Amino acid sequence: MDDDTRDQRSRMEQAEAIVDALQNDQIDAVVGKRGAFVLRLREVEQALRLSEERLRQAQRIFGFGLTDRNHLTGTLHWSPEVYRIRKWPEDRKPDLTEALKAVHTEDREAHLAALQRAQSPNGDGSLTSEYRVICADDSVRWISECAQTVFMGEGEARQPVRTIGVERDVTEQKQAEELLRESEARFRIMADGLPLMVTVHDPLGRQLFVNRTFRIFFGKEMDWTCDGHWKSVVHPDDLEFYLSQFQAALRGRNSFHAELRVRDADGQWRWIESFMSPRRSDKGVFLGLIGACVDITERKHTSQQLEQLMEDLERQVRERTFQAEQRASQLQAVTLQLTQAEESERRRMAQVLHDGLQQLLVGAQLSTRVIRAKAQDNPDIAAATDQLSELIDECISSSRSLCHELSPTVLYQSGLGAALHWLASQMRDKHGFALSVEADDLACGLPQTVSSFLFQAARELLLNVQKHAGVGAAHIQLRQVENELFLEVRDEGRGFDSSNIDREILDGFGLFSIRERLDLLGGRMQIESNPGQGTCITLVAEFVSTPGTPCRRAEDLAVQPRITEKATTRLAGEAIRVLLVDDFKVMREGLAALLKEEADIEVIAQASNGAEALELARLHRPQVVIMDVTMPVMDGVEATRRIGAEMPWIRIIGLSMHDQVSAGDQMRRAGATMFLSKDGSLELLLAAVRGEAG
Amino acid sequence: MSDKEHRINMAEASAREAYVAAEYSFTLFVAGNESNSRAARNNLFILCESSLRGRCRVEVVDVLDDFTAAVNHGVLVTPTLIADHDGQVISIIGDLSDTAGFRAALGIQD
Repeated sequence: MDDDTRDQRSRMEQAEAIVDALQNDQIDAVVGKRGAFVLRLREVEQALRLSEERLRQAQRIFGFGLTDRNHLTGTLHWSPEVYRIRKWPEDRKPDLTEALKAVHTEDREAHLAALQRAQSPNGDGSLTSEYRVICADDSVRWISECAQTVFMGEGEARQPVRTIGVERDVTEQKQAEELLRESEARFRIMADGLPLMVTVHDPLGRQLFVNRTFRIFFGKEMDWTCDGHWKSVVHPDDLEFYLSQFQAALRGRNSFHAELRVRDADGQWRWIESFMSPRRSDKGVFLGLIGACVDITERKHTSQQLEQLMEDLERQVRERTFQAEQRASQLQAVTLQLTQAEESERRRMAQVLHDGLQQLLVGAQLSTRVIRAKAQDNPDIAAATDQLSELIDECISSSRSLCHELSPTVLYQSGLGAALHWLASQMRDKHGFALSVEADDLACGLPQTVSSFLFQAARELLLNVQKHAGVGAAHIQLRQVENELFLEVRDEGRGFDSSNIDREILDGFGLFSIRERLDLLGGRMQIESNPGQGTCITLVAEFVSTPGTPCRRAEDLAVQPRITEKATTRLAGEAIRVLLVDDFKVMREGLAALLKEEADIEVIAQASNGAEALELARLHRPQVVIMDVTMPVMDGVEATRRIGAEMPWIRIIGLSMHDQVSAGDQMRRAGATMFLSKDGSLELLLAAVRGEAG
Repeated sequence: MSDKEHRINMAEASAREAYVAAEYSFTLFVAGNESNSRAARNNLFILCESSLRGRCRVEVVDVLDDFTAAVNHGVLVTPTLIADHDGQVISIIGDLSDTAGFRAALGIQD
């Protein structure tokens, strides 16, 4: 064996040993002329296995399969995922013809063309194709394929070697896209059919879509989806505000609504109303805004006209209202005047009755007494005179009640409160009606119109109680609360349903006219009543004290204590010297004639008013003054006070038609010893003159 | 023990036993501390200690430090043991785990 052979054998042995060691995985490194390299075969293998496993996993998870076509051998290799996608039997090796046959006839031509392009030596070898395949179970799946062909050689010799690709089942995606397309198409048809202008914006505010109405309105030639074009048709005065709103809506992802001017296709400025709302995906992701705009130019004009009309109308209404108010206040003034006129007429008539007729009648009565005294011997004349006297009494009585009804004097002299008290006594005496009165003092100072009205109204209300309530008692309360005067008439009688009263009922009770007059005087009426629970009617009047009519108070009338000691005592047999004071001559003379009959009484003088009385009293120094109350120049009350102050020994006897409490009170306060009624009995007067009575 | 220290120890051991007539001269080519190289070193050490006490000289060459020696010895892979016994040189490739075959190749009797 030569060296060469031995060397060769040794090398062979070495090679075998190396192969053995490799197979047993006992090699760490290889050494070459350029260095030593560590081999980590196990790790490489493991990594390879891992990587393959990962690839398999990825294929399974992402549903893509690998295809590998060898152009030199004409073989085709599919990864398991491809089999799964195409439901291809695992034991059947695929070939190109079969694979092509499985492509849907509608897509086959296009797919083939794509394949040929990818394999063309002049191309870059890339393939992208989407096509349907008929699976082994006849179902149809959409496949998306991407592949790359590797070429060999240059120029004429260039030829494809391998095509490696990835394919994926995109059926679901395709279906979703189809649905989306349909829905998009539906949206477009709908949007184009709308009479509204519709715009769609992306989250950055770019206009993605405008409908047909929009294009017709603003002009078809413009590309409205081009960014910012729409801003060019907005009126410069409105642009800034509208843009700020628009940006705010984009930022806040909320809706907004604005009116703005825009230029239409004809170059006319039009008013539009724009409504923008946020668009969101199913999952709530903000997709931008969707807008709808309406041309409101006409509406704007109409509403402007309407506003103008409304303004005109309002102005007219204001004018009319003003006129009506004026008329109402005129009417109120007239009514007030009427009430006042009525009132003053009542007073005048009462005055005439009282001061004229009644005095005359009393004078006549006094004269009949004189006649009666003189005709004692003639029974016929005596009887006729008695009859006449009775008649005259009746006349006086009716005249007096007429007088009171017309206008109670007490109302003017002592105020509403006193008048109500008087009314109560009247009702008690005449009708046996129990009326309790509770009246504030302050109620004096009222304008006469008001007090007179309230008094009349109270009387009417009391008549109602008498007639309808079925009870014989009532309560009147008069009180002042700040600037209002409340007159309340309350009874515990039958009552009625006050929640449901109409004019007829009001009229029936005379309440309506009271309410109307009260309204005109600026007051109001409240009615509270329920069947079986009595009635309470409150009249509320504005309390405006009239400065010209001061309240006459009891204090003003107070005088010094009366000195009762007589300075000139009457001597026995001496006649009592009497001064007669009355403004009516017939009255004075009647009285004088009567007193003349009495031997112990001498009428020394007669005065027709208070001032005269004072003079004559100073002159004649009478022992007794018979003083009328109501007189011109100076009235009886004042005269009484002055005479009392100056000549306290004189006895003053008040005598008046005023048979009411107030006149008597006033006279007594002023210093009168007594107060008598003119139509009272003569005996009483004589007794008073003689100082026997009282 | 690091590879370098190990080699020094082995070298010291060789030096100590140098004047004893060395029947076996071993040169072990390894690649760093790779698993097969480590196993080969251990197996050689066990053999020297157990059967050839004082009768061997050992040199360990790391090809990652110095590959030229390996090239000069015609070593292509590691681990490779070049054993010189009475002028007869044999090379053994692998981790020397086949103790029986290794002994037989060196002609060592139990």
